[in-house]
Amino acid sequence: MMRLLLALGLLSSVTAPEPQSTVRFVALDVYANTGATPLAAWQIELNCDPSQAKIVGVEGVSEKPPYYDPAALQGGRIILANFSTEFALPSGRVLVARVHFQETGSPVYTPTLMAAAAPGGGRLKPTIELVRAGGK
Amino acid sequence: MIRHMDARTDAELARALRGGDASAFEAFYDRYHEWVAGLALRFTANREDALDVLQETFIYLFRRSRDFELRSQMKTFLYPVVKHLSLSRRQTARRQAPLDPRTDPAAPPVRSAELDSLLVGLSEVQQEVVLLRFVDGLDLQAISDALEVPLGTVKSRLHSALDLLRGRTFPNR
Amino acid sequence: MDGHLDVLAIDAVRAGEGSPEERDHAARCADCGALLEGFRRLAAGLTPARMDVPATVKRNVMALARPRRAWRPLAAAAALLIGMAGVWFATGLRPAIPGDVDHNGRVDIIDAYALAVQLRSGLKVDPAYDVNGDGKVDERDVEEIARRSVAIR
Repeated sequence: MMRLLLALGLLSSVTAPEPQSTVRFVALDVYANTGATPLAAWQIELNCDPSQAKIVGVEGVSEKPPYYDPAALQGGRIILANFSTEFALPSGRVLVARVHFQETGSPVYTPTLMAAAAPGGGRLKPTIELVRAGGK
Repeated sequence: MIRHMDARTDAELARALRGGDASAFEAFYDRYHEWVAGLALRFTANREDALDVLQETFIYLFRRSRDFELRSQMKTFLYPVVKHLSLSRRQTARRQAPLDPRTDPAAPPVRSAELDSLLVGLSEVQQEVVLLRFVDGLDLQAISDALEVPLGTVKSRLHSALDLLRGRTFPNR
Repeated sequence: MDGHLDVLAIDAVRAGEGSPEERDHAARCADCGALLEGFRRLAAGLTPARMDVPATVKRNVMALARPRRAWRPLAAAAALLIGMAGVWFATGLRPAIPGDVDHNGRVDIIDAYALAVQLRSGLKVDPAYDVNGDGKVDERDVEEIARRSVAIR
């Protein structure tokens, strides 16, 4: 009986589950709100503490994915940008990109508008918003 | 606001455009943009693509403004431009995905069942001549210029198309 | 005039091009008149509803054609970027920073957009915008300016 209990004990220690990982993956949707003016070009910087989260991916939401520097991946700072010379340009609250992060702590994400323009080049100052993907 | 249409003829506008008169370019746009948009929609069957073609057509006219010679009707000049731009767009099959969920859904179909039933049995070249004649209102010489085919060919295509259509009953609208 | 009108003649009457004799015949002949009426209905049936064209299309197009000063292709390109700080293209200034198309002292995505618009319009572009040094100004220079805009240092 003792041998059985010992064997069971050894078994349970070998197969004991690993401690749960604190790494999580999140996706943030980046919105630019231009009001009634069509958005022809935009450039946005995102920052977070790299000890809390790292950028692991960028996703476009239109035919043409946004420009970014691949060197930004695995870091905490990225600049995203895109433009369109097409007629059909969105206005209002516009989803411009989705950024994927690997979180290891409690990061704070800070978006900064660097540049934006309407058709014809007139500078805009849309408000920038980050929303967890799947949120509103 | 009362909008005063430009009273100059197309030939006068063309001369003014060559001389750098921006108001002549605007007058051409005001005069022909609806026709160009409708024609582009006929070719592309997509509203956003048609509006892109409209924009590109007038950008093309602007590029040509310095040496623009109006040898025939304005529609004769514009037709092959719109057709080429529209077919290029269809070939690349580009369509910008809507970023704003509130964007209009698909454009209404260009070729309704009724339209198809009106032209059934006609070849593509016959349909093209019929549409240029009956919808766009071009005379036979203008159609010949627009399609870059001899006048006799236009007459032959239209004649054979109308012969096919003569026995049909068309609804009163 | 013997017999009935040819279909082309009836169509000419429909289009207002027929001769007085042809118009007169179509008015008197039941068969030709019926065919004329049929062609009129066909024209009505083929003509689609008007397509609504937003005013933004005209604004985009006219932005090319409204010069700030004289009507010159280069000034028209400058007119496209009207509203942006600084006079650049119309005065022929070369960018101090390669790729700074709008001469605002920095290279950002607006510069890439501005060059893309100029290229698309077919206007002659300043050779100074050959930022990739391949001897011509084209889409690759647009891409290079965009790449420089997002570079992190």
